[in-house]
Amino acid sequence: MIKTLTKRTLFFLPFLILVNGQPAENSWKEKVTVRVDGLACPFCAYGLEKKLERLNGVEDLIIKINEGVVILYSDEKGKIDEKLIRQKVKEAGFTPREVERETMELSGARSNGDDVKTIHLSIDGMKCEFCVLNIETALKNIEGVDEVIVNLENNSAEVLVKKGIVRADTLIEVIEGLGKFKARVKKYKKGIDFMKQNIVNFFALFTSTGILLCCALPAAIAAIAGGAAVGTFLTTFPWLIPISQHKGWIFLVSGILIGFSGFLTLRPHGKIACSVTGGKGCEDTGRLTKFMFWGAVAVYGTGVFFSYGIVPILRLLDKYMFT
Amino acid sequence: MKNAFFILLFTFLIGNVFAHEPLFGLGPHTVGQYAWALESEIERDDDGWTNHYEIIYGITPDIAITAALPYLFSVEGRKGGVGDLVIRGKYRFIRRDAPGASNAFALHGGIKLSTGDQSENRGSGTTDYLIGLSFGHESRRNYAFAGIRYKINGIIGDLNRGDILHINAAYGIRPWQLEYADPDPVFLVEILGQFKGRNYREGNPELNSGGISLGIAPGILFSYRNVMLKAGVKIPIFDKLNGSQPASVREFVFAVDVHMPPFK
Repeated sequence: MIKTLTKRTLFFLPFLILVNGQPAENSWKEKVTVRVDGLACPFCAYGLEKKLERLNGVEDLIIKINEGVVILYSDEKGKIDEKLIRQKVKEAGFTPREVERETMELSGARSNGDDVKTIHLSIDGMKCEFCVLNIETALKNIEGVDEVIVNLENNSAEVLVKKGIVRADTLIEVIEGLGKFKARVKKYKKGIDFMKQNIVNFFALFTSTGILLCCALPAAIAAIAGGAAVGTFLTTFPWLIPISQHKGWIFLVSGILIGFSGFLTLRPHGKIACSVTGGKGCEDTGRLTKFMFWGAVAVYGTGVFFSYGIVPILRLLDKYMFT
Repeated sequence: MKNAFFILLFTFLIGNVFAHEPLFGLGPHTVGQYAWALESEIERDDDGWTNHYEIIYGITPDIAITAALPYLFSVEGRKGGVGDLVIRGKYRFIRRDAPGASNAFALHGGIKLSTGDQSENRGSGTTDYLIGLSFGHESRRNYAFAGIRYKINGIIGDLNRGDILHINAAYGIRPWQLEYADPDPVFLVEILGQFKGRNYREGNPELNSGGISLGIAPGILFSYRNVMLKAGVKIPIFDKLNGSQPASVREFVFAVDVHMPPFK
């Protein structure tokens, strides 16, 4: 699955290496919530994440900047040392405050680690808590299923199963056998789908803005009889000239990016990202993603109009209206 | 003109643009202990394009050092190549953290070595020094910065170039307070003042040197996790230069900043 994803996003490989996904809230045994003061900027929080994820016992972590907390997940109770947490937070340049521990008991097989695995499913058709209960009961009746967590809000389920005994196909069959649900294995790894979507949107916006600068803005200014302004503009930014000489290729690449971005943003299961991050943050991100996409479309449209459309239109107007 | 070029170049070089900080002025941010960052800045002024490569390392949570090496692209009268190496240090001596906010003061120091080829107009031929003080307030929504720095220019031959005092103030806003793994745009506007002392040649003041200039610089900082893109333009708004000197020009900066995992 990851290979396919990598192929699709080969163009963005350097960014994918540099930018890691956000961990999902998978099965865990201890949750340690650390309140951190001074946590105001996502860029600065990167160092904090890298410091804390190296701590002994940390399986996953989530940084919630708007709440000012870092949540650490561990497979073993008491394995994450509070002193070390405080030390690492200070090293990252922040001030640690309260540290709260919360435990969650999963069934025994979880702690053996090697014998079990978690299968992540997306389930369509759930409408109420009764559906959740229905699915949970059906899955728990399968031999080899140790734990089931069904999430109505995210239309998803995490099923802890014994390796080699239960397969994802079996779980899907059972869920669909209930008659009103459609299930599939989640086709993402942690936050990578969400990340891919935003990176593509960003590049789409970036390239389309490039088009606006190099090819459309001078044309637009010239169209309103601002020839001298165009001259000044190109004198100030002479590097626009070689870019504009290859505008066909730039338009093509940008168009492909916008198309890909549109596919990721508007596809039916586009909200899958929310099943990773969840909550209001995810909704805000979704809005920003759409804003970036439609912004790119608007900029691209403006670029196309002024680069390829306005001259023929003016000629037509000259020909039929002013001659 | 040559002096003006080096003054302008060094003005860029001593401007630490790490993280959420002013693009042209000073800010108090550090990278965290054992953490490091790489930055590439492309800048444009009336002397052509320059690409600065910077590496930043956090010795302690509050002390960071930076090495910056510029590559100057060729223009008329100058072949492209490496310019003067700059080493800077920053000590954040006060930090007051609150939930979702931080206030800090930092001391800055720097030295510019004469590593560039002077015969090719890629180096000043002098060792120059910098001292500075900065303040920064950062919250989830607002940023405010203020900084003052003083550059002591070295003497080359019979020319004693005037020292330069820079003052900057900046305000930034984060319109969307999204979560950690979301794209994070911040808009920034800076007010920059530059007070250049007169040059002295063989002990006599040069009439066409020194003066005051003010500028305003809108910019954007766009980060996505550990990668930040920055762009800004400095627009001159006021010049009071001694004698007959060319007016200040618009300056442009575009930078990519990558925050790397700590070594230890």
